[in-house]
Amino acid sequence: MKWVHYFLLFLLVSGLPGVARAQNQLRNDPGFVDFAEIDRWFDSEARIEVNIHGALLRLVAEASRNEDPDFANVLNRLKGIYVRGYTLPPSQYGKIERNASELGKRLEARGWETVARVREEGDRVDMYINVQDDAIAGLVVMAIASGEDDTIFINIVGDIDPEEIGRIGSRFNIDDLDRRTGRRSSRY
Amino acid sequence: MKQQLDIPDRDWMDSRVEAYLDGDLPADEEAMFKEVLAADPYWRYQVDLADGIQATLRTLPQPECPSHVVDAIYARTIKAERKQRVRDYVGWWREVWLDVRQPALAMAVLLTIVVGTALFGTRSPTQQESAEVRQALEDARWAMAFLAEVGRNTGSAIRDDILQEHVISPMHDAVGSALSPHNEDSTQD
Amino acid sequence: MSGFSFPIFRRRSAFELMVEQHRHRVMGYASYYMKDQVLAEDVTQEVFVRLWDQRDKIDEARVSAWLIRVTRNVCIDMLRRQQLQRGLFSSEYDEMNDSDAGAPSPEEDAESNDFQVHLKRCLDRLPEPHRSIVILREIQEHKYEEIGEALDLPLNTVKVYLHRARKMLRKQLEEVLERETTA
Repeated sequence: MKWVHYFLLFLLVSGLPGVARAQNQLRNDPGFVDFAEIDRWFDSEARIEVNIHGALLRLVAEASRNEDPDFANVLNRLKGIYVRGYTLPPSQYGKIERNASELGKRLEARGWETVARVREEGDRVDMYINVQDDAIAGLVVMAIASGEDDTIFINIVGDIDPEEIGRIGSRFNIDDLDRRTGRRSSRY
Repeated sequence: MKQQLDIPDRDWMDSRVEAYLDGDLPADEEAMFKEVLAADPYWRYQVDLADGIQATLRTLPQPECPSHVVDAIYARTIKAERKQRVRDYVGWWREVWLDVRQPALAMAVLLTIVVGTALFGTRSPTQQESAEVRQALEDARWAMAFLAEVGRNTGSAIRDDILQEHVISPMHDAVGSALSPHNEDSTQD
Repeated sequence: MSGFSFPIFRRRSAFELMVEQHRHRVMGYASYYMKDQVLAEDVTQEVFVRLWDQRDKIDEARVSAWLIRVTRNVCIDMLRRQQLQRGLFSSEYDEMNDSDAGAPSPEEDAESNDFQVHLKRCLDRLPEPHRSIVILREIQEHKYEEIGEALDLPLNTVKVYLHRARKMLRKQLEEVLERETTA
């Protein structure tokens, strides 16, 4: 079975320059937000971690083409999908809320716009977009909930059409997806 | 002719108290039980006691599982598996690296890397990659579903806020003013 | 602000969802069985680690019965280990659990007039599997079918045991309450 090891090794090594290139490019992308800072806010590590970019994103788009060409088209226009989910003990809520507010201010200072800010009974949602040349180049959602619910951070980078995302996203049943998906991070 | 009354014995009654309470007695037995119950306060006490037991059992406290137990469970399961996967991967890498030192194999790897890089993007995914892609596809669907959900809810919350303040409340105030007694009096002669 | 409810968009594995769904019940049953909160926490942890190890083999529809069975087995194992550590030996594991060591004296009984306290003490004295069936059915409101599957008993047998258990409780409580009134 050693040939399998070498084959996987070559895939890994041959992919690395591409990955490094993709990540380096995205770091400079105006729509990208580095979530490494958010990891440090929490005492425990992220329960949910999703990083889909570069070649993986292309593969995912192609994998969905037969079943859902609209979804494939949306994915093809994106550059990256990043998700982090954490458990937030109620005692930490204030601290995380303050950190999220500061991050929001820094995003605004970088040219991001706040599109939604919702507060209700211990939950808050903030949504930001980054507009470049009359198109949305980045989207950030910070959904903070204490107690049993996860606190979620999402960053979408690329050419984003919120209406299309809303239309296509509504087709997916989030509860089914919760049940079907395993808790593996999608690293590349 | 003397009619003999079949009075059930103590054991008969005692073994039927709970069934009576649950409504599980056949009709004839229930009738007989009720007759004795009406006549004998001891059995009424037994039935009350049985009822009290059942009611109290239903209200007994149920200790909850504290969160540190859940953390300990995850530390021994999900997190342990993740760490083990990393360890396995590192171990595999180390093993492969030792083998690669042999010149002939090193040549083969170099050649494969060159060819592989040239063919990158047209290769067919291995089984491992397919699983990665499937997982990433589910993750992407979930992310879209999440955004749609948030978008829908924030949209409705903001819409409700705006409507309430700028449309609904002013409308209520206007209608209220129009229908107030002061206005009615002023229209009368 | 009206109409905004935080939807369930947590992304959790099936295992985490099962932990969330069943942890309190497992903990509750273990607490009553072990009569000790700390030991019950250990039992709960062990049960879910075993669930993790077996997660690919268990039918999701039967998880509840599986959890009851494993919780009981873990409790029995733990009590047996405790007894061995204490140097006691018994071939009947039920005897270990059916202990009178915790039973109050008649004088202690007479002091407390709390029905619930008396009931709990009587429950602790019930033999197995009667005690488990009362806990699972009357306190935790599991279905008869689940209890039967978990304890490997036919449905009717579960009902009969429950009946007997309730009768035993009634008899014991009658004695306790009588002692109180005559004291």
